[in-house]
Amino acid sequence: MRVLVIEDSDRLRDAVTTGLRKSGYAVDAAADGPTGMWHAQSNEYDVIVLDLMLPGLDGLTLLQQLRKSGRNTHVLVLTARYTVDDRVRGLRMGADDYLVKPFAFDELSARIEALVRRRHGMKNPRIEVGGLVLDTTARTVMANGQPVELSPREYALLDYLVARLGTVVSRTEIEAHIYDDRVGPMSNVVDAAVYALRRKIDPPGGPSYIQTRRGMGYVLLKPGAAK
Amino acid sequence: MRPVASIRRRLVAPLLAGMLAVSCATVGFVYWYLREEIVEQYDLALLSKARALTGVVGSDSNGNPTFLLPVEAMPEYHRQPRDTDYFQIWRPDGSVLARSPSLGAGDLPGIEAASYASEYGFIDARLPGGRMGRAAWLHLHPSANAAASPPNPTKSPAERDMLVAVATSGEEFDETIGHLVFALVTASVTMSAGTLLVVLAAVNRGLRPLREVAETAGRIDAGSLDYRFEIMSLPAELRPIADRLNTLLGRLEEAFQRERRFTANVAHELRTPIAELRASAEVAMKWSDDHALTIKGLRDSLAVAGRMEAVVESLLSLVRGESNRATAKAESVDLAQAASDAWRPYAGIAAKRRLKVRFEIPCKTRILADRTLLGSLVSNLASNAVAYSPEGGQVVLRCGRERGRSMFVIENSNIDLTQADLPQLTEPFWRKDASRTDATHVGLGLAIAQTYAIAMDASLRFALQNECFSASVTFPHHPLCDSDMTDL
Repeated sequence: MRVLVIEDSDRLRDAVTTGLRKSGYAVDAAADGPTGMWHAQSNEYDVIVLDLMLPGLDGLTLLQQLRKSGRNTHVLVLTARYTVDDRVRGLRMGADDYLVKPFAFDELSARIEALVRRRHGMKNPRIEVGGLVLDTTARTVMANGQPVELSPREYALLDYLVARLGTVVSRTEIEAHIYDDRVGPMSNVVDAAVYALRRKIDPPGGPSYIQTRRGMGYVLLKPGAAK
Repeated sequence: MRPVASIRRRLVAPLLAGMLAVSCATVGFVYWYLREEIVEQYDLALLSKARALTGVVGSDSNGNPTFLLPVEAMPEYHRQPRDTDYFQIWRPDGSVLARSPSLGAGDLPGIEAASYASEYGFIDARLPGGRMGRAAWLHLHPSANAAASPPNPTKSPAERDMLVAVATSGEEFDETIGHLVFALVTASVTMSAGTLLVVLAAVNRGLRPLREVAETAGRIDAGSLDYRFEIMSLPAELRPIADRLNTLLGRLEEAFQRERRFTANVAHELRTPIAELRASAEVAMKWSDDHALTIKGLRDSLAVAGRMEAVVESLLSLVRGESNRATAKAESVDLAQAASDAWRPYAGIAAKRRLKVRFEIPCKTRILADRTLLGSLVSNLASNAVAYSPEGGQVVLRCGRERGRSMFVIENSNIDLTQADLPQLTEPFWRKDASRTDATHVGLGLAIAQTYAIAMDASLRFALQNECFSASVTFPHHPLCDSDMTDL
């Protein structure tokens, strides 16, 4: 999943970005309003973490302009403005969630997960696809009753495919959601990641959970679902 | 404490009482006047009747007075169901010449005694049957039918006048007076009721603007402090009050806005470093197997701790400055030396930023001030000047005198501030950059400078002209100040 962090405090931006990448997210970061706006309008993000007091373009104005332009990306406001009026104003201007600084990193992470699930219409943090069980809270995977060790990138890829269960996802879409601006993705990186993931989750001798659609992309299917 | 009567009550009660009193007095006067008029008319009518009777008094061949008309020919002097008339005529010797049939054998009482003083007169008389009536009498000289001169007790009986008296029982008079009383009482009651309604309506109408102002003021709360009364739409008596209320609302609104700004600024300055500290530490601990991340987390935590220490120190300086007023001691201080000492830590930064620095402080310039506070004050102003001058700009430190008072001024180039910013410069945590991105300043420097100036009974003023910002400190006048400063 891909997240944009717009925060002018260098240390806080670094800490949050590092923590989210370590958690398996593809993260882009911006230190001011105009740069953040450019990122938000240029890329498809699952969640935008937005500070309000930004140089160049303040967070609320950025949010307003984003909504006016038709972008429905989930926005989590992260700010030191803590009064009820501030929270109400932020939510009414289009934010999906509001977290006051200082905050626990785990709480920020959990709220981002909730927004990602909401984006993909998933209510349950524990998803079962045949013998595959994904716990999005604990970020663990069980395949055929056995725990599976996945790298953050592999987990992110599986998480994304599960969120788009039954839908063909193109390589471009996978690149956009799994990789951030730090990496210049090439299509074989996606293929390699899918291959590695299949090896870890597919039942021995059984059909793969991840089906290839030539020229189109990949689709994660429940076992027995129509091809 | 006894409750104060409402304005409405203060107006209605005396207005009603006054108008009712005036009304009663008027009605009373009208009654008295009309009654007197009616009585006079009745009396004149009686007197006319008496005069008419003198026409039927003559004298016989011996000169004795005689009544020329038989009383039976005077039906009005017979007993009537109402308004019966009576007459009686006395001879000069006091014997009765004639009396009306309505009198019967009796006399009209009290006439002779009352008639002694004047030519004619009127008297209330008790009539036969016990009824009260009114009588008129006049004197008549037996030698002529005209009324005579007033009686003279020295005259002999033969020279005294005859006395003619006419009386009436007065039912008509009583009825007339009764009607008058009824009319006046009715008018009085109607006027009272009307007065009450008019007074209440007028007072309600008159107090409506006051009521509206009170209701409007009652609705103003912390969220509507931008409301202002429209002075020109109010009566003249309420305008000064509304004007004053508007002034107070303006001050209150400003104070609330200042407090909101302060709260938001403090929140940012204190919450953000704590958030940085927490996030850095939590991420480092969560992935503690990443050595480089752990080291970075510790380094960042240390840096944030340093910044928070600076914030705490600044806050303590601010509090110390506010409590220093009682302990500040004035001593003769070499201003050039104090300014130079305070400037020294910033000289390096100024050089790095290629600022053109100029000292215009004459030697042997001495002022009376607390040495420590003065040093801190100049230091804060210098820090501000160096930090906010654009690179390559100018900083000037000078002193002089204004209206006999010593003054220290520090000027610097500035392209960010506007005139509207000047009143907020000494608000704690105020910064021009609303995003507060620059972590090296927290916005307390000028607030601290202000408290130090106040502690020394000095005043700190700011000015902005032609992209030049100046901070001027004016020290209190002291006759012992040994200074050769020039006027600024």
